[in-house]
Amino acid sequence: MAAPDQLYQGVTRIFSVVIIGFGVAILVVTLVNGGGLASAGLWLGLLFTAIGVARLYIALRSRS
Amino acid sequence: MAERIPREESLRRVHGVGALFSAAYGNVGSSIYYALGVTAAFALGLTPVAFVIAGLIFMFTAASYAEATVMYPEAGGSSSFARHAFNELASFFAAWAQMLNYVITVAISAFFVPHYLSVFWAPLKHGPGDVIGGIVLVALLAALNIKGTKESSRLNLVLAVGDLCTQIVLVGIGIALVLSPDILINNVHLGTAPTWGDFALGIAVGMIAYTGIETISNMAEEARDAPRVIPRGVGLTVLAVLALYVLIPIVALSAMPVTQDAAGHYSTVLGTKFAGDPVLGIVENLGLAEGLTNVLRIYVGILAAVILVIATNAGLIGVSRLTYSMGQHRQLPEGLRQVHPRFHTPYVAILAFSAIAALTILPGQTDFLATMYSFGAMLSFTIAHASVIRLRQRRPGQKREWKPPLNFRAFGFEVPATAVLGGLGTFAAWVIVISLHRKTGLVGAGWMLFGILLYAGYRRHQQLPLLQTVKVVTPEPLGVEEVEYKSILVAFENEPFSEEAVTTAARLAARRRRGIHVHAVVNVPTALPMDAPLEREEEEALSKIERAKLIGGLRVTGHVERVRPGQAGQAIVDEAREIKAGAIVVPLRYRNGRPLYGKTLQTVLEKRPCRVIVSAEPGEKARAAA
Repeated sequence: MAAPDQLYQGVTRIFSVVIIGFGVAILVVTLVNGGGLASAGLWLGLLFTAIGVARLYIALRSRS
Repeated sequence: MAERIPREESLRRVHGVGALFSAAYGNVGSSIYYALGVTAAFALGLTPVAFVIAGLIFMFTAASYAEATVMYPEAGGSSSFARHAFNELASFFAAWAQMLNYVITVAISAFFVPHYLSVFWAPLKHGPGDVIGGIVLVALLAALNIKGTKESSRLNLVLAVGDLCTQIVLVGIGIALVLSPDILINNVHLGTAPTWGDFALGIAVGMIAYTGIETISNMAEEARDAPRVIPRGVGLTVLAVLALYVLIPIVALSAMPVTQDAAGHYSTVLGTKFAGDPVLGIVENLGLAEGLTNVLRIYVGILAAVILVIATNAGLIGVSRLTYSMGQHRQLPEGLRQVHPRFHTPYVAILAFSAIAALTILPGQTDFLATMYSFGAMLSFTIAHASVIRLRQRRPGQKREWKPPLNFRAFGFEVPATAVLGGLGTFAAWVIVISLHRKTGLVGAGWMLFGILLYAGYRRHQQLPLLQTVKVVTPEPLGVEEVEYKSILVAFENEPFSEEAVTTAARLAARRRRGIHVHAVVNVPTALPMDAPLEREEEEALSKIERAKLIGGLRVTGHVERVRPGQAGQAIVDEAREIKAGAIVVPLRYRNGRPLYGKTLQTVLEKRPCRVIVSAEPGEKARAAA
């Protein structure tokens, strides 16, 4: 694979992991503060985690 | 002497995904430093929602830009798309709206620099310190741009990465320390705080946080493997910007909640006390220890100020580039795009548009600047979306190396849903701005009307059609393909202007940094003193230089020299020596159908300090004979 492709894939994966990190952090903060299933923080955290995982999955799949 | 340069090097395509992303993120990422506070002032607790909606519209806009830029990898953005999709008037309309964007980018970025530098000196945080500081900055950068400046790709990359990392760290700390979904929900009082009108205006103003995507379009000509690199650069920018611009307002409004005062008004300090430096507001309200907060304040203050100075400069560079591009397409009068004789920069345009930027700073009203920015950007984006749809209808068979997803068939062609949704979004945002902010509507309409009158008047004066593209002609010269030279001297004596001679010189000086110097000689009769008034001859000589500039662009300089009859040849040789010319191009003269090797040409050939190219005008001989 050419170097620019590797750079693009690498940066995309880093961003995806950062977004997952944000999602997990929001989930943890929400749960620590007693947030339940109905809390906005839980859904926001899940949303970010899902977006990050989906983008990471696409990036990894296009590599193989 | 002459240096041989391989032709392939003259049009190097150098930018990859990293360069495009860093340039685009550098521009888009700088907007948050002023957009957050002003958006929060309107949208209050719904600011994160306003940013999400604006972000979706941005995503659609980025898709349209990527499709059209891959189709036409040339500078100009929406102006270029409109030229291919509609006509030259539509192209001018988009270009003039873009010019407004650049002017307001200069103004708003410069106006916010003193706010962030107030970490060192408090009076810069408010008027008149911020107004004076902003205007001084515009003046300094205008002078720098007249002298000539270049963007440093490496500096852009470092700043973009620094900016990105800083925003990630701030969001991370914010999530850990202050994020509170309960506060975010309690911030919202639907229909009251914000009112629906203010929320709509918040979305429109929030769009300014995402402006800058046209940067990629402007770099497209120099992009390596455009069909692959451009969509990837756009995609990375969208991914990074969307994620952060949703989270930054969430953290900010958790740290600075909406409160109700004794009079019943709702507000957040993000849109009041920290409207001028919202990211500093986040830092101060993260709940960190005092020492760490102070260190972080200074760091963010310096970083934001540097990024905004770069954004101001990018706006001025944008003014120069757009002036040049509009000049090439005969959209602006010569007076406005006049090039400085020494620095080769469009100094009149830089001075004029910098002065307008300084004028818009003068009232010190952030919301006026923000809504004006939104006015120009939304108009420009709407034209870009409309152009993409029109191109799908007009040129369905043209190869598109990249297309966004979500296309459907209607009206007999494949319609891009992203352009339809994006176009509706940006047009709605534009309507909201002009409806709810009357002053912006009036000033914006005045700007567009003035531009159209200027364009129509200029085209009429030049006897050019309003709707058709008329580009400065650069016909192919004959027989000079083999070598290129360091600098070229084009010499004119009494003969008429020769397009062929200048085109030959332009081809020889193909690399951008090479100069073409037009040496126009005026013969002063021996009966007259050297400084005798020879207005007609001087005007003719100056006109040759101006016409050469139209063909050769920014690289052309020139001057008029007075000589006695018979001394022109020596003057040309001396001039060539002085500027260390690699070649002299002299137009061939004819008399009675025969080439005239006059004394001037004989002297130049005899005493030549470098190669001399005698340029014959095609058909000249036949015309002269007739």
